[in-house]
Amino acid sequence: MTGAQPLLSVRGLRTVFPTRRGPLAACDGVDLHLEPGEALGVVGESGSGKSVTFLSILGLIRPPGRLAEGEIRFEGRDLLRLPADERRRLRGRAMALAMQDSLSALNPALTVGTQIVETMLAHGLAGSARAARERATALLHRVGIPSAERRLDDYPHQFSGGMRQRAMIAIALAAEPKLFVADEPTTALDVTIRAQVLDLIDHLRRERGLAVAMITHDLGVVAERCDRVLVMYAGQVVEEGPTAEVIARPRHPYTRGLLASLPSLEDPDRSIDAIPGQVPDLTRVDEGCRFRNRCPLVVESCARPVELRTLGPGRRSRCIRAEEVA
Amino acid sequence: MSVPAAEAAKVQDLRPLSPLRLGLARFAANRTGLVSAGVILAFVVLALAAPWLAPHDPGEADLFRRLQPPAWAEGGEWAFPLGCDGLGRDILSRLVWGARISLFVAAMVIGLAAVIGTLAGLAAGYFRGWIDTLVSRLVDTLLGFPYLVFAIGLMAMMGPGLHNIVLALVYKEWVFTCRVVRGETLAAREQDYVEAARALGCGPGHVMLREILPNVLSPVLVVATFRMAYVIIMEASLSFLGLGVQPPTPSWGAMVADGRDFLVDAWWVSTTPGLAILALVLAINLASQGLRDAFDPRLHPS
Amino acid sequence: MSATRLVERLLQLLPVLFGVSLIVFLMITLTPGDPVEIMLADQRATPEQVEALRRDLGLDRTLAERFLVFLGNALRGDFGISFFHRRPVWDVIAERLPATIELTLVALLVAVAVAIPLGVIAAVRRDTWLDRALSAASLFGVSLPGFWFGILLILLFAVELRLLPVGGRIGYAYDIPRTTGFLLIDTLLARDLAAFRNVVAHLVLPAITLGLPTAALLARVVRSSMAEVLASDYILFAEAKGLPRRRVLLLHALKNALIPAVTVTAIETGQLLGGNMIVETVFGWPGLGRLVVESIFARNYPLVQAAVLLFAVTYVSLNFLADLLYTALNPKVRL
Repeated sequence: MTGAQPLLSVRGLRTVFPTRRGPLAACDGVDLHLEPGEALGVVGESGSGKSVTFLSILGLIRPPGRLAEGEIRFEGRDLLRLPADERRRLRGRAMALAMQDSLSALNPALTVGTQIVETMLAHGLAGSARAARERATALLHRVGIPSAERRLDDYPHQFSGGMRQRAMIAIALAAEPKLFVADEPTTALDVTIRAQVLDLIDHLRRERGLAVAMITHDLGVVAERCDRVLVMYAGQVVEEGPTAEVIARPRHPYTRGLLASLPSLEDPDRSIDAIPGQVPDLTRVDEGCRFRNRCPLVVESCARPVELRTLGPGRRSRCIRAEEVA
Repeated sequence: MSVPAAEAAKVQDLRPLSPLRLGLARFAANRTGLVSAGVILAFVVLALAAPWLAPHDPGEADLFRRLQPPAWAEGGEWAFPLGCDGLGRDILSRLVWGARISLFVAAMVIGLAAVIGTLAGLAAGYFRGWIDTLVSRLVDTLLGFPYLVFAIGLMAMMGPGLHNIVLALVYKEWVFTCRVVRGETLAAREQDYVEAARALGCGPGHVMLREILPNVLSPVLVVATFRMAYVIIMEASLSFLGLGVQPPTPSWGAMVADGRDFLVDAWWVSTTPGLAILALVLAINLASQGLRDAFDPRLHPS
Repeated sequence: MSATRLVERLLQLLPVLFGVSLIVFLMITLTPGDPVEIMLADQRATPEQVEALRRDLGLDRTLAERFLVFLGNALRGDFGISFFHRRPVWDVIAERLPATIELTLVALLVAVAVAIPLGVIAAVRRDTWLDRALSAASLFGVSLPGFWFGILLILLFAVELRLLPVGGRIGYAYDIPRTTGFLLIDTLLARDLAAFRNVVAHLVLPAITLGLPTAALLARVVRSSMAEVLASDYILFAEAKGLPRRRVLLLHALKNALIPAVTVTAIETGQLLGGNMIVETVFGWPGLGRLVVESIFARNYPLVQAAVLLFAVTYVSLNFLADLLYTALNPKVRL
């Protein structure tokens, strides 16, 4: 860890949604940090709160949901104290988001060019529409879309899946942000295209010193491309650490379960062990460990409040029996 | 209990209520819907009990009471609570009798249209082929006329009168039910229970009426209630133009038309019947919206 | 859209137009009573004249033949003579048509100008008191009988407040040369601003009466389609880019949300044609709608028939247009 302050620092983030059965804290007391140029993998199943966490960071939670508690610092500035207008300006310029399904994320009624240019103009990265268009062409070219100039005038549905994903990344990065949140960047893609898109993200990261938060349920992607990994379950962070270490020696039963359920290339005949049980109802959780109803290492003390504890530099786990996991 | 019997008992408990019952139960829980249904009921009672509830004979003209104001205004009296019209007839009594006309026309039109539309829709959706083509062409052609234009055209030809209004409106109304039923039938005929019935050798009549029809009833009900409001306004509009029921039979629309000549001096002659129409139609729209919400599967994931 | 697809669609229209003409034809022929007797009711005619008229009207031929003749004539714009006016039916209709078209267009303008902003606001402030109030107002709007609403407006604005005229298109005092038949244009062409204002004053109440129920319906469509669009991923993405709120709403959202609204508007315009009859009667508007009603009472059937056919054809065409528009505007369906 460097001595300089992290690019993004989040503490105690809690976002609540009112539901018919009561308030639901989709992310409940999340802490994380991200350094410039770093690639952080955020892993968890659907409902773990990984997307909500980053939507909260970007200020995109819509009523009736609200950000109930927490501190979010970007480059040292407390985002929650900023007026709405300032926060809006940070979106796209300081932090950007790319979503899972490029077909639904891009406005079908506007050309890709328009969607790039408007971002540039809105954040003052180009003086005129013409200048913006030139930059947009260069950008499309950079992400690997051939005949960039012509493609500017095409609509999203005219692109193939892989190209469209690249176009979406281009649009997201149009205003040259410092933090890029990629929500399931490869889930909707073919295996062959997957590698290309991940390579693209890697290159962009190195070129521009971009910090990347890659939200995914695919541990394989994280293993390949992320320096650090954050594992989330039922709205909480359950484990954190350098990727290689976490994979080699997981410190939370859930992480171990995830790893065990990955098909293995070396041993294709090994059976896949799905984790038994189900995620608890988040409107009815208590202070104890939320994984205990599915955990092979459960003991009585697990019903008591559990904290995220530090096991070493950059290494944390929410399991009281962390050392015994692997 | 032996295992199969125990299993059967469990299945019995799990069998869901028919969609119709479920929907009606939900509707009953909706307050606005219930209140509107209450209002509608009040109108129905009023209409049915008209001979006993109306204080005066709706046709009794008394020129001394010509344009008498309502009871709370100067010159009015409580024996004629809403005042009198241009011929000295009691407005309240005419309103009550007018309710009969509006409700009768609405019920007849919707009822006939529902029956015809359902039968046509079932036939078209089930048999497909030339029957479907015929019915669909007919539906498309009838839909090519703006509603009022068609009704007016027919009334022009048939002449005014209660029965002609009902006929004229039915000619257009059945189309709406037919479309819905046809759509539902087309979907239903692909279902397993229909295949099963056919495999058992049930004739088309049986399949359509005993298997498919019950499932089609809820949308028909929803369409029927929501069209009812429209039909009432249509009848009133036709009567307003003079093409509806003829005097001396009181019709709300005609009453509004009568009052036009006296707008300056006697605003109540036109206003009161209009309010009655508004109240009834609003209640029907609210109730039908409540019904629609109660039956909408998207709003009630179970 | 390719030309062949367009032609295909047009061809699908023909059976409907045919069916519509057939129905209109049947309406007239199946009228009880002898048309000849009805038409000559006020005039003393000799048996020879009656026979001649019968032959002229082709009443001695078969139904099928008469239908074909009717169709042929209709396509040429020949709907016979209106005895009442002693002129060809088409001329009488053409004379009154601009008044109806003008009223319908202004009513449409009112409807759109009211519905779109209200619908957008209701969608943006979804589930707040504002949304619910608009929903209630919209329900009220569709429950209101048009003819009564018009009368109420007259009562309030013309009789009580004396702000606006009671009826008609233009004050008696004004004499404007008829160039296009559209008074809004003609008064401007004649450079008579007082007359122009007078025409506008006469248009206000009828246009509101005709347009407001449509506005109620349209507002609901706009609100629901806007609400759907606002919940979509691409709006979230646009917000994530940090675009100003106004741009997101007006460009990103509205552009997609208005598509269903446009098609509904086209269809509703056709419905307005029916509503015209009521509104023109209430306000004494000298248009086609009122002409039809008058003709019914005058038993002027050829005119009624022609007008009904005209309305129906217009309605079918508008529906067709709505269909085309939907395909043309929907970027995903651009094939």
